[in-house]
Amino acid sequence: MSPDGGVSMQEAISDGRAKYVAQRYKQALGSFTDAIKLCPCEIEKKKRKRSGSTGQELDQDAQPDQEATGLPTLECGNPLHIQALNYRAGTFEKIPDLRRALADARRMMDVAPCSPEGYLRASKILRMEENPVDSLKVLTDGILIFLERGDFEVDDLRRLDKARNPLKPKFAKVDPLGDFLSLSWMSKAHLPTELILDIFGRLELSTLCQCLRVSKSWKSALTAPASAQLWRSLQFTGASVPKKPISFDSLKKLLSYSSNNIRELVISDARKLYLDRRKFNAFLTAGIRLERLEVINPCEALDLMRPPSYLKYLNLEGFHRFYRPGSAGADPYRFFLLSIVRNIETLILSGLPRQWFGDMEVPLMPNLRHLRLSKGREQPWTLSVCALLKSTPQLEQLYLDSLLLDCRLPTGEEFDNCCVPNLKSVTIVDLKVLVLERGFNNLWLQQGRSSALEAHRCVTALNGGKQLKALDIHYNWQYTNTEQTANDIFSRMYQDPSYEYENLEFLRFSKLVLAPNLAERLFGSSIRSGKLSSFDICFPLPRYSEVTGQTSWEHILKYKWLEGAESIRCLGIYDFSFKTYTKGLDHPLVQFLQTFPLLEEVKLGSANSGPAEYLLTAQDVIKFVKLKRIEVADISGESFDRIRRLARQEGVSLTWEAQKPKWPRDFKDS
Amino acid sequence: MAEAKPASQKIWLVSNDNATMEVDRAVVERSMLLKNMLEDLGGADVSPENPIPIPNVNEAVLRKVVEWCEHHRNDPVAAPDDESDARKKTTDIEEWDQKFMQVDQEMLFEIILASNFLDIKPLLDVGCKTVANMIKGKSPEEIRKTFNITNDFSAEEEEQIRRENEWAEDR
Repeated sequence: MSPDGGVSMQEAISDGRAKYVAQRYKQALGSFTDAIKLCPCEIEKKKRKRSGSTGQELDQDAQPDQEATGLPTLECGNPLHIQALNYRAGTFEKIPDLRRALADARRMMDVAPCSPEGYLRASKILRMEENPVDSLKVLTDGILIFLERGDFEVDDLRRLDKARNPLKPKFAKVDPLGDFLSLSWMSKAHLPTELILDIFGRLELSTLCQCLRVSKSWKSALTAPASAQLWRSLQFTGASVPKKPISFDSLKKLLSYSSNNIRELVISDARKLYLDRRKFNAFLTAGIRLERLEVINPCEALDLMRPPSYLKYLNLEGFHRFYRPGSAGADPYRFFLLSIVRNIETLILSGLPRQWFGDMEVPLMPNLRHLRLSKGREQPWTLSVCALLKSTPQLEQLYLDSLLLDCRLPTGEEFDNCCVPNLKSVTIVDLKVLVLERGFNNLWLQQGRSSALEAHRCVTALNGGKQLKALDIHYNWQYTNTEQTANDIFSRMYQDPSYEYENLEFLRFSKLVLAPNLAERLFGSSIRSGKLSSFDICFPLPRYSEVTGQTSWEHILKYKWLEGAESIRCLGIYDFSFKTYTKGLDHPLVQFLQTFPLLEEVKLGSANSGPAEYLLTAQDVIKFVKLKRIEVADISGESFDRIRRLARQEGVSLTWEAQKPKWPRDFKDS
Repeated sequence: MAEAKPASQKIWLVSNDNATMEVDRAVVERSMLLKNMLEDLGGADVSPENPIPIPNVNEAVLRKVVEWCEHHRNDPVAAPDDESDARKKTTDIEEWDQKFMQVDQEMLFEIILASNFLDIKPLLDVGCKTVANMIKGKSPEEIRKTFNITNDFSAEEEEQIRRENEWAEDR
């Protein structure tokens, strides 16, 4: 049987196994080594080394179904050869000499790349070496070699994959930008470019920059021209606000990744970026096609003389401080705005050009849909709201923040109440307007404030109120309690009986006390049409020395008309004070809230009730009203903990800071 | 049997490793590829003996994909072009999907490839978000560790690229 007349491989292996069982490992190693040396391929190697003679001998022990016949000589594929190596590696493990055991396992892979044994053995040894990552990798590489060569038994592949299973959850690693083994594809696979852009397009700018440092292949993949779109939107906001000022060279590099073609630039704090003229010019040079630009808090006068003419979205804050009319020619800030009016759709300015405060100086913005203006510091001038509206015929959403306003128009012109026919959303913030009744009238008649209130009346009554879907009024305090002679922000609405908010979906006015019957007059139709989903009720001040909570009681009883409205999802309840407290289900507020079948959220805030009443009320609302969310205010410490525990128990989520609604708002239909 | 209502009609799929699965038609139709195919075929010819072959997806992956489609069978079908930008930027994943995606990385990428091939946009979205979340807010070293990537920059190269991106470093 044996080729050289001595012991056969088979015999040497059996001999080694016997010694192994008897735990005579050293001797077992000797026998296995003998067996290996007897393999024809080893003999051949030796012969070649010695003389170069070509005595070909048949591999007698090879079995007919062996996998590796016909492969190059080193891959002799002799099962006995593999078996001997496998046993020897196993013996080395026992000694233990893992290094040599692993060397044998690797030889097994060389001798028979399409046999699973070598990979399985190597994987086992690597796990003994506490190297699970490589242990998994050797199996994965084995599968890849199988697939590459295509010459394998499916069962063998399954064995390799099965051995990977316990290691996979923790150690299977896939480079999203590299090749990986896909058993579905039965080959190497990689993510297509559009998915890579999808994944990396979701990352913040700062993380994206960190990704460049991962490896050469990551850097080249992410900065390739095909990836330019990842860098088209540069948003230095949130976690991407620079921790250190960005250098000019870094900035140029960053811009080059977008092929010097950025579309969005958002800088939420220009000081953190050290945004100087040179950097801003670099941004604009790469931003000829810029569609969105936001710069907050510049620290010096930037060069505004080259405005990007495709801008659709512009948000500037604090620019007015650096530009004054009269100083060396035209005001660059005004010029900049004048140059972008054609395409602009959303304009947010905090601090306006000086000239806008003059009559008719606001340029026509034919495509403007969203306008948000806030007063800048040191801007004590009034803005004509009617002139403003005449310049924005397509306006849908208007936000006026703390501006001094009036309704002036050049003499001879009449104001058209329908000059912005598409206006859907009005937000007014003015913490200085204070309207009191009952003899306090003169208190709020400070300079400019009466004209501001008149302007607010004008804005809220546009189109007879019929187009409005959202109305959000933030006053510090406004109070109307007389039901006949209302002198509040809605007095223009009351004047014409056809004026009402019949399409309103969202209403917020946390500090505005409305007489309930006036509220019905304004908002009743949007309740009846099933549109109003968010509503606020603000309670009047309790009468002096009142102990019974009668004012709040009376107020809520007059809201009968609202009770049970199916469209209501969110109710704000502010400044109540029921004093003599009725517990639980008998509480008028609880009873009121329970009538709304689809109520999801209650906002509760009260400066009038003491902390004890507030706590009890909040608890009862959570306990007895079916809710998803509750927003609380004016509460802290132990009381807050109690509320939080209770809310968790009842499965109600709790927020404790007034959530600012998103602006511009999304409306379902256009 | 062929007259059953479309929603409860059964469809048979066979993975590329020959595992046949019975799935409700409504579930199968989460895949736009298969939905269009069924609309063309009518679906009447599909039987346990004549299942729809799904090439490039093996049993383990197909089972995961079907599990996802089962859970989301009643989700509204999103409009084809729903404000892609707003959608793109988020990495929020609903709780069930998060649990569903707690699989090894190989399976995660297989699911991504399969949902891309089968044209199941919302599942593809969840997959891409999951990978994005694995990178989000991490340092280069943490990213390398996450995906077992070797740092092959020379010391000089590394220093240069670190300096370029210094402004974006977290600490």
